[in-house]
Amino acid sequence: MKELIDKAKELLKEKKVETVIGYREIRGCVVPAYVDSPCDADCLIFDKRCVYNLANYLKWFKNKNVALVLKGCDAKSINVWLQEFQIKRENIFIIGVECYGVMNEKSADAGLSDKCGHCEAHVPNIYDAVIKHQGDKKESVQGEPFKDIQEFEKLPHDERWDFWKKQFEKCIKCYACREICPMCYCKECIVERNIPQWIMSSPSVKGNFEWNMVRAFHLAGRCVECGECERACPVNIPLMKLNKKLIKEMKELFDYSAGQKEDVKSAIDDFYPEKDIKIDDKMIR
Amino acid sequence: MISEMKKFIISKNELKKILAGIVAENIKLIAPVSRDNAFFLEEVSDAEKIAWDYSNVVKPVKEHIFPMREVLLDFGRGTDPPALDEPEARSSGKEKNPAGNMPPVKEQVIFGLRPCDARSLLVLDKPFLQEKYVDSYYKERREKTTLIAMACLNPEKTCLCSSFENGGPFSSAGSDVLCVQTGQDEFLVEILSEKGEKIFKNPSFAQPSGEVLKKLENLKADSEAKICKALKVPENLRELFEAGTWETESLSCIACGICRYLSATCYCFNITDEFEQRLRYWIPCSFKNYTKMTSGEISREKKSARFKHWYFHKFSYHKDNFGEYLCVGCGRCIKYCPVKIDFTEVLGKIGNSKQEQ
Ligand code: SF4
Ligand code: SF4
Ligand code: SF4
Repeated sequence: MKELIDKAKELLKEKKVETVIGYREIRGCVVPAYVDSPCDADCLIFDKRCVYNLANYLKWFKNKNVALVLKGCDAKSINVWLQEFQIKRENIFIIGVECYGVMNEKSADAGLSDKCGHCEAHVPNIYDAVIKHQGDKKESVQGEPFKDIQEFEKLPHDERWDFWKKQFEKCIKCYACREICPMCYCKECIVERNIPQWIMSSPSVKGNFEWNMVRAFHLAGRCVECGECERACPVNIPLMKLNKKLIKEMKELFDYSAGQKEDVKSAIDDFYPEKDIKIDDKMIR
Repeated sequence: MISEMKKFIISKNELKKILAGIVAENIKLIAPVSRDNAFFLEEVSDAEKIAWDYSNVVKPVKEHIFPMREVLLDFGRGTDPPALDEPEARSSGKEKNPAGNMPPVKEQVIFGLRPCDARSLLVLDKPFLQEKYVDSYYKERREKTTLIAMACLNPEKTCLCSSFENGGPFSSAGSDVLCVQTGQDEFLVEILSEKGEKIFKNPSFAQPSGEVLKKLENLKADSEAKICKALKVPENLRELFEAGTWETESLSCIACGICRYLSATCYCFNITDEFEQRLRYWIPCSFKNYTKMTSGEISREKKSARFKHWYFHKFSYHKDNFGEYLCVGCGRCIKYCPVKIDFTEVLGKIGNSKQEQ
């Protein structure tokens, strides 16, 4: 913790950044912290309750000099932002934290989040400084990361349809999944446009299907699997099931995983049908 | 007139039988059910499906009086919204309701809502049933609804209902019937209105003994003691409109719709046409396009302005207009906030901030 606090103090003292966005604890829970002055930096912490992907806050700090405390999964979203020319690298200082898992807020036993089970970025792949992990390092559970998706794919069409229908019927269109996602930064989301209207804005099962499909598809090749959307959803829709399906497709079809490097073209930017499309039976279902 | 026998004891099975009787009479029964580790107030056709071990449901009861999505008008062809597997309404050619003929609103009984939610309808009645401007859609549903509330034995750490006049985990305000689970298989039922009396018409239920009434008092005190949050609105809130604290407190807000949608009392809506229907559906003031005008102007473009508006509507404007806060203390906005903002804490900080010129 001292390392983290010292780093923040140094950055603020030397005026390298205006604000450090990190984590702090109040009334027994961890919340995002905005630290503007070195004397306030003592509140900063990092532990397994630090679930938020703070890269999301860049939406509101686009052209400012900020430092962000980021875990491995969160830092990947910075790569995507850079690939998509949304931020300038020199404007942000990444305080990477070595991380071996955050808790799953949705489960009663406070076990680790699913995404942590097959994490390959315990140390962020992009950072300006890195804070070492103290204590025992629990390596990821090895095994097939897409097991649940493979199982789900095996179900008959009708069963899958009914599953999602029951899920999306609960959606209240609060758009928390969108607002919390660092990758959802459009100025005006297509669901909210009504001239012309492409997607029903009202919360009906059909409109909810459209919304959730659009959200998932717009994140194909961009979702970094931080899990924030699923955590934010107040009605417990398993959004990661959709995201992971697309992550799997991207991997299998294009051998692409989002957020690995800042200086490669993003999948959508580097798409040449002749070379990339491997048409097989799998695609035509 | 409510008859003499207002309080009685009933077993779980008897209670279930009464609820099953409601379904048998073709009245819509809405009760808590469990879905994916959460509870919702939903229509049930089988009393066995009702959940009993919930703290509170995710979506407040307002959704059954002021639905998330409601058809106000049906133009011409009167088609239902296209079914999921239908590509488009126009091509389906299915006439579901004849033109202008809206589906009738059914009588409904809502069982198991919490006292805060029951009270929220009293709060909502004021704007929706004002003397001059009666919302006929709201009114019809409200009149056709009977509320059987269930007192809270285990309030959550986000609950703050006892901060309100008439409020509390055992409050009967707004309910037609209040149930309290006084034992493993024992419920104390209190009839509070004629509507409630209609449901519990069987006169053979046992009167509560003095012992049970004593137990009731103890349970009530225990429950109230578990409420650890309280509402304190700064007296000079109006003068603090320009306080810089609003900006800093709103930094972590992501401007989603959770605190507005899940608020037991937020009631803003949008009206647009979709297919051949005019719809009214919820919209939260946290969204940018909430204040978007025809000219394209957005009057509360800044996140902090939208953040602040919620506080001013709830704790200032509504109080001026209707004499009470637009809040019943259900605590959902605290519980479901994805970044754990606690409005009671924000109000505290605002109260401590100095007014900025
Ligand atoms: S879609 Fe969900 S998991 Fe993927 S980047 Fe966005 S918030 Fe994270
Ligand atoms: S967070 Fe959940 S309820 Fe809200 S819009 Fe997204 S899927 Fe729907
Ligand atoms: S706020 Fe009060 S009435 Fe509502 S759930 Fe909590 S304890 Fe029960």
